[in-house]
Amino acid sequence: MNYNELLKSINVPADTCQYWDVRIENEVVTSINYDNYEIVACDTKPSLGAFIRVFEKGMWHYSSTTNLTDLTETIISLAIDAKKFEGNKEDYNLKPYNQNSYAKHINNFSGKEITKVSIEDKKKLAESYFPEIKKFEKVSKINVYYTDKYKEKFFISSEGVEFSYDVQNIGLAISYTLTEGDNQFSDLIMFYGQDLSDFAGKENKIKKAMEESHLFLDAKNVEAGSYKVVMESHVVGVFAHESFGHKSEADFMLGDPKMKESWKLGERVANECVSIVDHGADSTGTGYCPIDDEGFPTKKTYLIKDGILTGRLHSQYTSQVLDEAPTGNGRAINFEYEPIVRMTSTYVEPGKDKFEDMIKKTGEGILIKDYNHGSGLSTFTIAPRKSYMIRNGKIAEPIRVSVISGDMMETLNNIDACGDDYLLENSAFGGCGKGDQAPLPVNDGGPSILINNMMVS
Amino acid sequence: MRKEILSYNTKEKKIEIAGNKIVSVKNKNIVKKGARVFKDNNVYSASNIGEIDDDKLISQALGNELGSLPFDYELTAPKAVSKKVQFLNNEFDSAYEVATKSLNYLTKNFPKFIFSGNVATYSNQTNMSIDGTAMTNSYDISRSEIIYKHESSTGIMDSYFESMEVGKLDFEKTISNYAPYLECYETVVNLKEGKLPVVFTGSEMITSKAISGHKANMYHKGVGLFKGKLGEKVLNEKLNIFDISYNPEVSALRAFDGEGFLREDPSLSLFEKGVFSNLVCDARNAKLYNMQSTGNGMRSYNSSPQIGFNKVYIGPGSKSISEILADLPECLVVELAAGGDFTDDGSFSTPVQFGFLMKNGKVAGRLPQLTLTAKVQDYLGDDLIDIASDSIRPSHYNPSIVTHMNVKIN
Repeated sequence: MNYNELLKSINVPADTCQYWDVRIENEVVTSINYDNYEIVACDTKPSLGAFIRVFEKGMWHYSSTTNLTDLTETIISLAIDAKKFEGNKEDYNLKPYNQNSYAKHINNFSGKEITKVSIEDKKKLAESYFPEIKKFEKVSKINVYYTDKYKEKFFISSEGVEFSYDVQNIGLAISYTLTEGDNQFSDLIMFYGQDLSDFAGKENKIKKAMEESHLFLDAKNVEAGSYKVVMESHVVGVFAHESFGHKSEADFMLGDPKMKESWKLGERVANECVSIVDHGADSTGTGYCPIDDEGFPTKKTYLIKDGILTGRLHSQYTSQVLDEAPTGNGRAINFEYEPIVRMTSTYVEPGKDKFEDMIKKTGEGILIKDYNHGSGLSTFTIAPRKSYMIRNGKIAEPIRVSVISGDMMETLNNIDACGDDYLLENSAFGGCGKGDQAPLPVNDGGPSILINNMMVS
Repeated sequence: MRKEILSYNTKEKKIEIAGNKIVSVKNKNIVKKGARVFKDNNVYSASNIGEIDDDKLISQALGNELGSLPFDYELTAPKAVSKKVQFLNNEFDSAYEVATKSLNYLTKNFPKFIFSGNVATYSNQTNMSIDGTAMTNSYDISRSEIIYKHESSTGIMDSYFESMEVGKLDFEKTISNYAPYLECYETVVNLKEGKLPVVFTGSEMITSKAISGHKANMYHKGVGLFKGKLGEKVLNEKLNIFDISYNPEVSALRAFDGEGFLREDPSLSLFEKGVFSNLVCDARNAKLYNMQSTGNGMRSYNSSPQIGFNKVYIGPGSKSISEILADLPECLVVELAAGGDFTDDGSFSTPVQFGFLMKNGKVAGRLPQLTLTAKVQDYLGDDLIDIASDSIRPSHYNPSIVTHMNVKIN
């Protein structure tokens, strides 16, 4: 079915409501799981549906449906219901849909859709790494996961905005637990790509990663306290996302006029070596979102530039209420959900310091190599997987750490150095969670950084 | 040949609140359906979102030869069952009325706070058909999640209070329990570092590591905190933890598992008086490890079974949480502790973004930002103070655990 044509066939009288839009999402996900080398899941998951929005009397009215045959009727029905509400009088004059009409259709993966690759080839890829993994005798529990997703989005609005684009993400993950006597250590190796050929020749990387995991079997627990911390680049990504990215989502300012004053653009919030950006234009990663789910194109938004608070992320509604320019950050995880303010690709721009110099400058501290998860509230956290002590300016023994945490504002000011290295981390597994919407594909990255005074426990 | 059809139908009405205003109303009514066909020692599967004829889906599954999985385990004989907990007549009016009333009450009585969040009702129906034998499970739930932020706070949020009811929302009950905490917001207490009594408003976080090795495929591979200790006393004897499949009174709402297994006794003990008492298992791992399935084969309409938990429920103690707290000169109530984690040996650490100090059962004020650390074997072992007969938050079905943890001020 041609979904662009289907959307164009919607015929709603002009005076039905102030505004409407329809987003159709068509996706196919493949999930394969091997539990101790035995295949236990091989699922192909198609999904097709539409999210319909009507704006009337200062309120949004939504419907999520799999019935694509009566979209016109659904819009009219929502609009009739919407008129029964008193709505938000103070928002009657809002036009959170105000933009010029345009039509843009992007096909990044035409002819290269992963849906055209056979399941057999996907299984062969995952199984091709079994011999390498089996060389490690201390592996007691292992899961090898393969996933891919091809998604097409189609959108039309009553204001004459129409777009479509496609995204494709593929992932391979090896999750394992090593055991030796009473000691256990769990680790994870992940690869990302957009074509099956991106996953060839990973034996050496797997070997090195698994050898490193073995160093942690008899690692001691860290003594809780305040430490200097060096984060490697992909940890810095989650730091940028959790520590400041979420704080930059403008919906947290709604209904709170004092917040705009407290978070005045132009004020210093971080060391001058820190610049944090959100930009969804890069089609080679999981943060790709060229046009958001409200029809606004992505743009490069500096959240912090040279330590100065420079911007924040908006949906159309928050940009109207807070009287700031839209940024293309109104996103939904799928057709069952409404767009809310979300990040895309969020990263710290690289600095000038050499990694070795930062380790030397640290003297005594901790190196965080990778992480399991992070969270961002008043105190943000990162749960590391592999960490090392830094002693006398050199990387020393492996150490087990549950969580590192810090006050977001204090930590930004405690960044002492930004490296000249840079890595953007993509993952086809998981993503960002906010409210009941998870996981949303995003990516994040940056250079290695040195932070003074973080709580490590 | 065995044919299974698993379908979900969820009807959702959600009212969204942002910055003290109702900003949106959402309707969702979606059917999701999956088929599995067991034939010649292979499982064939297919799924669809939206209505689809069962025979067509079965035919699609059989056509998915390359995606089939081998199987050699025993399949559960289907038993007809029909469970129903329904209370919603006009679900939309119910959600909108509660949202309006709640917001009016909160903005009038707590004008220094900004409230966001949502109020929602869900009508869920799960149908499983195995070779024509019908298994149905219908239940309505209502939820509210109110996020709040004081006008002096510069954070995204301070905390939230939520309610999940297998029944109509009782906002008055939720807010009467929570109001004393909001009233004490502006008092930030001084706290000495050290080992102090702690109660989490949700117990799931602090019990998760203890049960991580209860899955048969983990345990038999030597993974988990209590590896090799099945049948041994490993935690405090006051501690009883159950995996409950179906009991609406404790919000356990899975009448049968993803493989059509119907438990005769919905309650399976995981820890009994501190003894590591049982493993949980699905059909495939039952064969692999010479066990019986415990009805823990979890799957969605479009996925294959994996071992998972039903409702993990903490066995209630004899004293109410009010009685326990009244006897404690100081106890930390942890409202929001996001981002904590465990090392493989059970060392736990979490920042506490938001919480209160109770002194002999009275709210004394808000906690400063702090970090809690403890080992699972200790805080659910000798450091455990008591298990309450109820929860510190009435909308949480699990009884509260009161224990000691190490407090470090950030």
